[in-house]
Amino acid sequence: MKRLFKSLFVVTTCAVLALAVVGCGEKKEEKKAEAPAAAAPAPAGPKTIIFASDATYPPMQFMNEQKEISGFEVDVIKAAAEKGGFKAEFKNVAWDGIFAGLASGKYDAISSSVSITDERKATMDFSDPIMPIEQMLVVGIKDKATDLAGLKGKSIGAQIGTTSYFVVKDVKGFKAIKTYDEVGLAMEDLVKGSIQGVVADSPVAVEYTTKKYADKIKIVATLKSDKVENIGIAVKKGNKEVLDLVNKGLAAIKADGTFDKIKAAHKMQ
Amino acid sequence: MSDTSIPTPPIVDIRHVSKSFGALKALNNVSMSMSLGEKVVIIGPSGSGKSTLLRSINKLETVDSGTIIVDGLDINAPTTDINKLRMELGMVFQSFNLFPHKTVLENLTLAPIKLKGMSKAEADEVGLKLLEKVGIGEKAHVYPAKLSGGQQQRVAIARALAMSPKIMLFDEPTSALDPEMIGEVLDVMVTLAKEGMTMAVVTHEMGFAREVADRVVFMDHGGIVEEGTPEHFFQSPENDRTKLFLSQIL
Amino acid sequence: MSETHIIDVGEGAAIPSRSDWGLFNAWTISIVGAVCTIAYLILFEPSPYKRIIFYLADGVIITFEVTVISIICACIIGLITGLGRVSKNKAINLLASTYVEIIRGIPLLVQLFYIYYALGRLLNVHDLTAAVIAMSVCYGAYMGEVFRAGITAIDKGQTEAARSLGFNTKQTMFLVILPQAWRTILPPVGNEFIALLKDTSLVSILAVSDLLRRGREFSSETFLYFETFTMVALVYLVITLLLSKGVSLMEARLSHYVRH
Repeated sequence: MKRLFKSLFVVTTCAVLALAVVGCGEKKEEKKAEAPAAAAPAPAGPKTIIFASDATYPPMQFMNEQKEISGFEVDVIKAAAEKGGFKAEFKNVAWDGIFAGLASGKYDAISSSVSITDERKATMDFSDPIMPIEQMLVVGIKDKATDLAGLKGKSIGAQIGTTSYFVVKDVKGFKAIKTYDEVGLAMEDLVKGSIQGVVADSPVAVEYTTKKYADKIKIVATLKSDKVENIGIAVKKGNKEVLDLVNKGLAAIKADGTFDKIKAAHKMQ
Repeated sequence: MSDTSIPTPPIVDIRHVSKSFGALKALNNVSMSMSLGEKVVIIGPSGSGKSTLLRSINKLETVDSGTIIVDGLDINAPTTDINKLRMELGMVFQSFNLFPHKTVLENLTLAPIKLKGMSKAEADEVGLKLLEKVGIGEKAHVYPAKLSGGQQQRVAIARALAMSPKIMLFDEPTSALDPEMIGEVLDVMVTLAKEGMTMAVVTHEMGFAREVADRVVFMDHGGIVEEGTPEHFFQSPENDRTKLFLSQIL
Repeated sequence: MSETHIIDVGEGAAIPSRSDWGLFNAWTISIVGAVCTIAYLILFEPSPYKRIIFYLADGVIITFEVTVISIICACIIGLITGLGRVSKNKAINLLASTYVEIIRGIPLLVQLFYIYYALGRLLNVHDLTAAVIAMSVCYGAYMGEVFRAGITAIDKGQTEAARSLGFNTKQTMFLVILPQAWRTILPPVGNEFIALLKDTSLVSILAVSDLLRRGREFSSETFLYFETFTMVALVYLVITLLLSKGVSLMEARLSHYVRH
C-alpha cells in the first residue's frame, strides 16, 4: 500500500510538471495557429462560419425536441447568413468557457445572447448590435419584494459570467449571490425556494415567467442602467473577415424587414 | 495423580452428538462425559473429529444433533446464555490467537474488566500474578508480536485462566510451536493439571498424555474408537486401529 | 515466528525504510513545489495572482468544510454499511448490499443532481447540505466496502478467541476486530478521503461556491483562464497533499503494534 502511495505521489508530481509545460506551450501554439487561419485562401463556395451557442437560453437559443439548436437569435443568424452570403453552423458550447474556446480558435464566432461590454471588447470584437436587452429581477409569485433592496438578507442567483451576474455581484446586503452554469438551474432553485431572486436578460426572464413557470414566478423590476445593453455576435479579436460577413447580413435583414418578421414570429417586443 | 478418583456428577456430558461439514461427517454419534477435576486427553489422526468435538463443547462448532450439557446447562437450549457459559470454559488454540493490538497484560485483563466488571487495578493484579505463574511476568507491557511462539502460547493460557474457568479446553496447543518451545508450554499445562484443573486436551504429545491424563480417548473417522487409562491405552490397547495409530506415532 | 523476525523499537519510534524515504521525498517535492509556486506568483505577480487568491479564499473554506463533514459522515455510513455487509442477519445484509450496489451504479455527478434537484422538490435541502448528503451517501457505500474487506481480513481465530472468552458478537466486533481492522482499513480509506476531496469539485454544479466555482466565476469575468486555473490546481494540490500526509501519519501511529 505504501508503494501505491509512493507511486501516486510521483504520478501527481509528474502530472503537475507536465501541466505546467503544456500550459506554457499552448500559449505559443495559439499564436502560431492564428496566422495560417487568417492567411488561408477563401474556398470556392460561401464561407462557413461556425457559431458557438449555449443552447440553454430560451427563447434566444435552446435545443428543440429534434436536438437542433433553435431560437430567436438562431433564426436571426440563419436569415443574416442568407443575405450576407455565408453558411452558418451552430455548435452547442457551455457558457462557462465559451469565450476561452473562441480565443483558442475552436469556432469562429459566438451567437449566444452575448452582451456587448467594454470589458469583453478588450479581448474580442463584436458585430453591430442585434438588439437591446435589459436586466430583470424575477422573484417568487407570492414575494412582496419589488426591487433588489427588497431582497436584502436573502439569496439571489444569476448565470455565471453573464452581465446579469455582473450587475449584482457588487451589491451588498445579500445573504449569498449564487452563480449557476445555466439560467434554467437558477430558475429551478427559485421555484424550489433555495434562492429568492434571479436576475436574467429580459427575453429569458419573460420566457420563464410567462411559459414554463408562469404560475410560480414573476418579473418585479427592470434594473436601471445608465447605458443601453446590446447583444451582438462576438468574434476573435481581429477576425475582420467573419465580422464583415456577419455585419453585412445583419444590416441586410434589418433593412428589408426580415428582422422584424422574425421578431414578430417569436413574439418579441 | 491418581487415575481412579473420578468424581460425579459429570461436568461435561456429550450425548449422541453428530456434525457434518457438507459431505464430511466430522462427528458420528459421539458420547463422552467428563467429571470435575478430570483430565481427558483426546488423540487421533488428523481429520478424526477430535478438534471438532472439543470445539463443540463451548459451541464454537454447533452440532447437528445430540445434546451437550456443560455444568448442568444444555448449551444448545435457547434459554442458555452461551456467552455466560463460555466464561467458565477457558480455551487455548493451536495458533494462540492473542489480540495483537493489546499488550500482554491487556490481553489478560480485557475480558475480566469488560465481562466481570473487575476494576483495572484488580484485573492488573490478577493478570500479573498469572503472568508470573506462566513465567513471563517481565513481558507484561510488550505487544504479543514481540514474543516467541512459546511465550505467546503461555500468555494465551494465562488469558484463559484470567476468567477463572471451571474447565480448560486445549486444542492442539503445541502443534504450531518449534520443538524447543514445546516443553515450556507443556510444563505450564502439567502444573495446571496438578492444581486440579478440569482439562480436555487435544494433542499429539503422548508423553503429556501418559503423565497427566486420567483418561485417554482415541478418535478416528468421527467416532470414539477406544478409551481408557493411560496404562491400559499405551500398554494393552484392544482395538486394531488404536494399535496401528500408536505404532505410527510412538 | 522465530526471535530473529522481531525488530525491537522504542516507544513511537519509526523505522525509516527506503520506501518511506521515497514517499517522503516525492511528497516533499510536491508540497514545496506547490507552495513555492503559489508564493512566487503572489509576491512577484500580484496582478492577477493576488487578486485570484483573494477571490478563491472563501471557496477554499467551503471545499474544506464539505470535505471534512462528508468524510466524517461517510465514515459513519461506511462503518454501518460494512458491519451490515458482514452481518449474519440476512435482512440487514441484503439492505446493506443493495445500498452499495445502487450507489456504486450511479455516477456521483448524477447523484448530486438527483439529490439536489429531484429530492429538493420535496425536501428543499440547502445546497451545502445537499452536497454533503450526496458526497456522504456515495462515499459511504465505497467506504462500506473498504470496511467490509478490512473486517473480513482479520483472522477468524481472533473472533473465536474473543467469543471463547465470553464476549458477545458486538463486544467482539468493537473490542477486538475493529481496533485491528483500522490498521488495514486506513490506507484504502485514506485513498477514499483524497478521492472525496477531489470529487468535491463536482459540487460546484449545485452552484455551491466552492474552490472550483470561485475559480470559474473569476475566470468567466476576467477571461484569465490560464492564471485562474493554475491557481485553483495548485490550491487543490496543496490541500490534497496535506490530507494525504495526515493519513500517512495516522497510519504510522496505528502500525505500532505489529512488526513482522
